[in-house]
Amino acid sequence: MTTAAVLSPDPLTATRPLTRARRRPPITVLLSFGVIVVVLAWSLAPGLFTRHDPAVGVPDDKFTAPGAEYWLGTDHLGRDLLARIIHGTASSITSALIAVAIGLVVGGALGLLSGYLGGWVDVVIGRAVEVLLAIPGFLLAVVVVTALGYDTRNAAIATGVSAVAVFARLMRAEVLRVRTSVFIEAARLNGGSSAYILSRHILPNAVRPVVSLAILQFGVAILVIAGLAFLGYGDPPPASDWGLLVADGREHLIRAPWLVIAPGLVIAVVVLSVSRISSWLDQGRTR
Amino acid sequence: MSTTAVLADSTAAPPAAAASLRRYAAFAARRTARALIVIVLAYVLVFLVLAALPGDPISAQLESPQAGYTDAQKAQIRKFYGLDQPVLLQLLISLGSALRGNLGLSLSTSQPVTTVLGDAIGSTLTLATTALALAVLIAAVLGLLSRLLGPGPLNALVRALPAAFLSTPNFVIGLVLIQVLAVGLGLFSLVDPDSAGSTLAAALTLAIPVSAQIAQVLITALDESAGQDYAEVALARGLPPVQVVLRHLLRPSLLPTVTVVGLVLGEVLGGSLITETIFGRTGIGTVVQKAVTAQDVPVLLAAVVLSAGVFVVVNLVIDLLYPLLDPRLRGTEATR
Repeated sequence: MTTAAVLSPDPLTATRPLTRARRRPPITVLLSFGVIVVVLAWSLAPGLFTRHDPAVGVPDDKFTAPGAEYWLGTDHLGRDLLARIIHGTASSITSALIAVAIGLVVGGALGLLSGYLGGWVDVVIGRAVEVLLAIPGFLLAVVVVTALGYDTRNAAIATGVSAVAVFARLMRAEVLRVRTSVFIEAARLNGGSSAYILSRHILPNAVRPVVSLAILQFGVAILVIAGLAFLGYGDPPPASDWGLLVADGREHLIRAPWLVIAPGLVIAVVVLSVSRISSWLDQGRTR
Repeated sequence: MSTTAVLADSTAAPPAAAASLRRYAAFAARRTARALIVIVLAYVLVFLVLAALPGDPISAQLESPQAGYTDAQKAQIRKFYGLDQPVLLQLLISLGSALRGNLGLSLSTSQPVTTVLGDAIGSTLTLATTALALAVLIAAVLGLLSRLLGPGPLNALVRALPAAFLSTPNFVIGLVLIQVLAVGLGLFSLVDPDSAGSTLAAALTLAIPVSAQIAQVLITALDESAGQDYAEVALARGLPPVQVVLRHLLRPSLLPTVTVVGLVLGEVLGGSLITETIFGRTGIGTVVQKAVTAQDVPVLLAAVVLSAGVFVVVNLVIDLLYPLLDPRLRGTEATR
């Protein structure tokens, strides 16, 4: 340990020139993009990646440990776990996308109005956001999914609702930051209408951190939806959403730990990749 | 006000101190009122969302042909639970009695909701405080290591751990801990969920993702402090690096860290739902889960608002502590 290390702004990048980090994405970011590509391919064409049937198993092969025939092992009905994970991808990914879309659109609109209009609109929206933030996110999602009924689509909506406040808060902060800039004043003096200024000047300038949050929230949504599915608030079996696979595996934890560990690892690796990409985009902005 | 107040402090301390105290009291009163309003509004919001619920156990029971209730009896039972009123009136009645401390009766067990929650909250508070303590401990270790380890793969690992912690679903962490600690090593018994070992494992399950958020804030704050002149001066004076980190980098980093500890409490409370289920504990989380299954609206409403209330109150206390912790914030509270 050197004394200089204690004071360097960031011991990891201090030794490297900044320009190199900027020109080419780091290897971890490239790997993360690779993971996302694989997952997207799984959800678009699951049949290309596995020859096993996700719903029908071979009873004689039940509880086979991971090996050459079944890469990730089989469950209590002899179904191939990898096939079930691959076929569950589309549902898990789509529902996370729906959740982020809801949070982004509703939260973004609220934050935009709140920050741009100010006054009583800001007070009302601000108070609503404060209330949403006060209710622990997962509990809020559980309440909403209870009211809507248990299925994966509703779990996605509930997750989106619980993300609205985070988007609204960031969007408002960004709008307030941009709103006071000189070029906005200039646009207003030029006679630009509110709608024009919002869409042409404020939104484009506020959008980058919001996109980075949206990507991060995509990972969070995967986790929340998996949690809801784990508790049984998503589609019932034989669906194979990732969270549901872990819940199924839980029954056989002692006999076949891979049934929990494999889908758990898939979730973790996907979410980790998503958050790595998000933080990389964020860094690009601050540098 | 700062310069005049400082001058006034040296010459005539009592009036300035009294004025600053008055200002702090006004700030505290305003913040407290706002927190109470947020809790009441949370009650309203959750009530309205749950009012959209298509069924409840009372109606289901009443309509079932085996029950054989006459129409008059059905109407009487609905009236007893206030289900015959319009939603907004139900909300006002429910909110009114909640403010007087009466949370109504559970629809599935007919016990008072306060009893149901009272029986469960102790277990959840033990779990949540243990989890927060563990999370702060893990975050502190990661934060200090990020500064004390020189550049290299070990430091990179320390800085990558929080993201990995955050990405792993807590139910997977819990199940792996059970598999490794209870089944594999036999460190605690699965039969007694309230044993110290089981509680610690459950708390660790909650603590791992939460510690990551605290660690991320702490590491960023430490990095920032490290770039300041006073840190360089401290090193130039010949202080050992450990002491520089502990005394000069850690102290200014505590404020953002305390803030994030308050914020992650929400995740601890929300996460208790899954953790308590996995470890077979009886707490607010399992009460919520049972209430969801039974469509027991009064219990669900009260449990969720209770969690929101705990979250709001703890964050209120943290807000009120800021001006006491950081002299720079004194006097600025009037503007917040």
